[in-house]
Amino acid sequence: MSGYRLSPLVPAETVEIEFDGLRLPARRGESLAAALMANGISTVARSFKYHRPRGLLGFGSWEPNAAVETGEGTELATNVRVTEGLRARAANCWPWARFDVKSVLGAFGALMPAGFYYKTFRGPGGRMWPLFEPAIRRAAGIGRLPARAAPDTVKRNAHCDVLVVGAGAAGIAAALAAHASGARVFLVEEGDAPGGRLLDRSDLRVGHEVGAVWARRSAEEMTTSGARVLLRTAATGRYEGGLVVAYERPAGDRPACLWKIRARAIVLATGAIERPLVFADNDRPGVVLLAAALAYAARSRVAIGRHAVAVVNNDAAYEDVMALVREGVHVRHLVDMRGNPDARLAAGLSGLGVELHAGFAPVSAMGCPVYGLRIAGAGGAYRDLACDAVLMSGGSTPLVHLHSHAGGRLRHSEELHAFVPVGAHDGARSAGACNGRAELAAALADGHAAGSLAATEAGLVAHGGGAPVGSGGTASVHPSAGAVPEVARGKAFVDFAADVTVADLRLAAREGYDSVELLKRYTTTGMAVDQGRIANLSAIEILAQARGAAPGDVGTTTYRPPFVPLPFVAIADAGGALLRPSRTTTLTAWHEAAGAVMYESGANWRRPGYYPRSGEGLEAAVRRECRAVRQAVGIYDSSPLGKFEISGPDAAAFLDFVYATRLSDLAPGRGRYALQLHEDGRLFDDGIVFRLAPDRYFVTTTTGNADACHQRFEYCRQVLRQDLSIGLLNVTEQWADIVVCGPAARQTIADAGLPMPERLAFLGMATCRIAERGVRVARAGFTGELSFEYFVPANAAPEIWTRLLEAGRRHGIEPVGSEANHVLRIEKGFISVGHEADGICGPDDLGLSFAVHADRPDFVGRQALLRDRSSPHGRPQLVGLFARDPGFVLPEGAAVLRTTGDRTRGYVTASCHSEAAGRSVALALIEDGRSLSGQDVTLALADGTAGARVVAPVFYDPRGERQRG
Amino acid sequence: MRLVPCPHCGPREAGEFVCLGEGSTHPVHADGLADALYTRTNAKGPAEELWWHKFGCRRWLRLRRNSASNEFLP
Repeated sequence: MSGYRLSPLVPAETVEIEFDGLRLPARRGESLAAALMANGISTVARSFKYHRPRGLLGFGSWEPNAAVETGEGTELATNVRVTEGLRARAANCWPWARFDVKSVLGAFGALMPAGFYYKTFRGPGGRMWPLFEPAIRRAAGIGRLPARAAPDTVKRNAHCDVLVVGAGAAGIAAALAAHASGARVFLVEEGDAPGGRLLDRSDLRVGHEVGAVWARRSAEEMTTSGARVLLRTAATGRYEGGLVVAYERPAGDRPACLWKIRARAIVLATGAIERPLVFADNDRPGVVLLAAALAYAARSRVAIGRHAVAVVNNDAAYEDVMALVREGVHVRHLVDMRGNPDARLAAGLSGLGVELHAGFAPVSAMGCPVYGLRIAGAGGAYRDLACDAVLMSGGSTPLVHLHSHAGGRLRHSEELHAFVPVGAHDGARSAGACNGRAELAAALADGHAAGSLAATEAGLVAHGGGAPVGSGGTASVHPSAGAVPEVARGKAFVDFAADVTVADLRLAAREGYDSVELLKRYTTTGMAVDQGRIANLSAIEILAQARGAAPGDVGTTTYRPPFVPLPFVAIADAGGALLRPSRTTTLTAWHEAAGAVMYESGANWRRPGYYPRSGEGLEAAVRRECRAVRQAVGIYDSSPLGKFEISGPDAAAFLDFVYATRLSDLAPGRGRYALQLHEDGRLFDDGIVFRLAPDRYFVTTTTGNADACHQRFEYCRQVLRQDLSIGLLNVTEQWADIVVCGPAARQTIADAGLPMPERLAFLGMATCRIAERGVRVARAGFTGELSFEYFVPANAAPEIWTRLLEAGRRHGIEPVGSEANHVLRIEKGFISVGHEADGICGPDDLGLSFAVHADRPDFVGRQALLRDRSSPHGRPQLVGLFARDPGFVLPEGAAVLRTTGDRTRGYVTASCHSEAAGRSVALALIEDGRSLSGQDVTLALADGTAGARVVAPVFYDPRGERQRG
Repeated sequence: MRLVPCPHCGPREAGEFVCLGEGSTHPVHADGLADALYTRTNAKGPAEELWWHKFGCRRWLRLRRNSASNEFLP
């Protein structure tokens, strides 16, 4: 309870918020984390595994501990803005962070080493996993899903010449250089204001200005003159081809926005974050990163404590401590893990009343919240320093993630004890602290150079001006020691977010998990919300120590997006309608108005499944619809069918090549059932091809394969048969398709006043006019009844459909959905691509040899058909099945066995109750099925078996007299 | 997402394309049929590939790409 405000809360900007049941005053617009610190709340979270009390460790997105629930999902307290009436609670605890029932887990911590769950539940003899898994899963994870749907995220695309990620000193210098060269510049910055570290250090100056003022003025001037500066926008991933995805959380009520920014050149100026030090109980509330404490003080005017102690291993930290003291935070001690501090820096410290302990390493934090720090000198001398906050600075971790996402390479820098980018990658170059140039002057120069190069790469002439000149901040961030002291023992945390200690990592290395990728997966280090930003360098250092190798040889794990967490709703679409649009026919509105149950079917078409009357279920509706087709007249919307117009002098030769069925001898005005094969002889697609004129064909394909057929037609035309001259048009959506079928089809059409060519024979096609529109009428269909298919211009369909329905009322017409169509086609044994044509069957397997004309010189799949099979036996063949119990509908997909105990010989492809057959019927693919005709087989069901007899795969009008009638 | 250099439309996102890799040949003999149907070189490094600009000009393209670096070559 030691944090406090450095400047008093003004009533006008004070609001009341609630956290874990406590009502607290807070400043509007500040982060929830700052508000909690200002109110002296030190325990803000519970850790992931052991439920240890945790305080704030970092700032912004670099916070591993403080996950809170705000009612809109789980979020970091550092990223939640204070608004009137904000209610939040710590995520991983019950009831509250300050008192958590599950903290009892912490007492068993020693019993939960690395790989605990595997060793206990899954290892040799570990059969308990299924028993314990539900409870373990319940206890795992952080946060709960929000009760209400997430608000929409806007998605925007942008293009620019130069994209600069990060508006710190280097980023602004880069943006200025690119902007001055005339480039269209995008500058994205995760924080609320441009400046980065300049915001924390009033001693840093650029030119004659205070750094923060220079940053703000530069950003404003660039915005005025055409650059785009996006604040509160975190770049989450870099992808090939200059694509960066960024997530914007705007202030106020505007919805969040996901940006896809495509840039000709990219400057990555993502900066660096501080590394924590590894010592016992370094996770106690009150132990924070030095840079975070400084940011809270400088940006939010909140102090971490009243008498702090800093533990550091680098020179730059001295300057941060001095800045912190100037902000008004009292730092009593500075512990330097190195023995020979820089005299100038040491003198600066003593001038501010900070006592220096050089050559001491941190051993353990005392108290919870922390009230002291034990340090050890070279000879084993201990000192206990009283404090209410411990500020850690273990060197810097350059944020190389965006460089690495798309494949940029890294090298280990001995001076920095960290990995830095090797050169530019795919148009993206790093500058400033993320490139290992953290000191102000170097960062400005690096940024300026990168911005100029980026402008050149974007095709512009770089502006010749010089880099901004920085002063202050000269101390090096290069640590001359690692962040893991030799004395680190016990619960010394490396990964705070995943609760992984130095002991876990050393154990894993001893057990042989000594590659960095194995170590990560075995201990989960680097796999939590911060994706290892805080932990990974220390973990690599520990592994290097354990292996006696150099950190550069240990290497890093793979960096993957997202760089900072973003909500699922930002990348997914909550509603789904925009993510996967469904396609509608011009009759869809009619189907919906008629009360049809709509299905999402092949190729995303939304089509009617069945049309229930009030009080009617699926089965009764389907029965009624089928009866209408068989006994009176039915009408259905077949518009989703794939349709192509193929024309030109070589149209016939082209189709003869694409199809296994001869189509060149088709007379104009006639159609033929035709098959397309894969080159390996398997059936690919079927449909009816009509010849309209000697040089013009109208081709229908299955709905689901329409796009694949298009690709294939184009492939044959452009790649395989460039010698043929044809025109090819996909007219699937241009023609609606209305099918009128049943014994009363003729009268219905006549009553509707629609033209019906008198002598149109089965599979014939004629063109005629309806209401001044050209239509094509065919004697074809998929029901086995007398059937007329009207291909009409799509926008003419509703009128024609309604006319047919009204005329058909007298004859008992019913609209028919896909469910009834399924029954009608099973009764006729018509195959359906995807059901019977499963990618394995050839035409003969399905009884379709009649449609293959192999006595031609060449067509796709011919060589495979002609090749002698080593054995003609064992092929899956299409047969019909009668279940022994005629009232029992065999489940589709059920395995077919010859007898009980036999191996699987095939499976049921389609099954239904058929009123026309007066019993249940099914189609199946069975090994050598045709030779089993008349024999009994056994079906394996989920609950037992069923008997069935193999019959011919046609259950209604086997000679096809009705459809030819 | 990788930009594909379409010679007809200019650089477009890979999502507009279908990549067929080395593509399938059309076998005209039964000899060596299995190789023709199923065996691909799958070279690491520069290779010629077939791409279809499905949501664009609908042209089949022969493009050279380095399969190791995923860069398109002139």
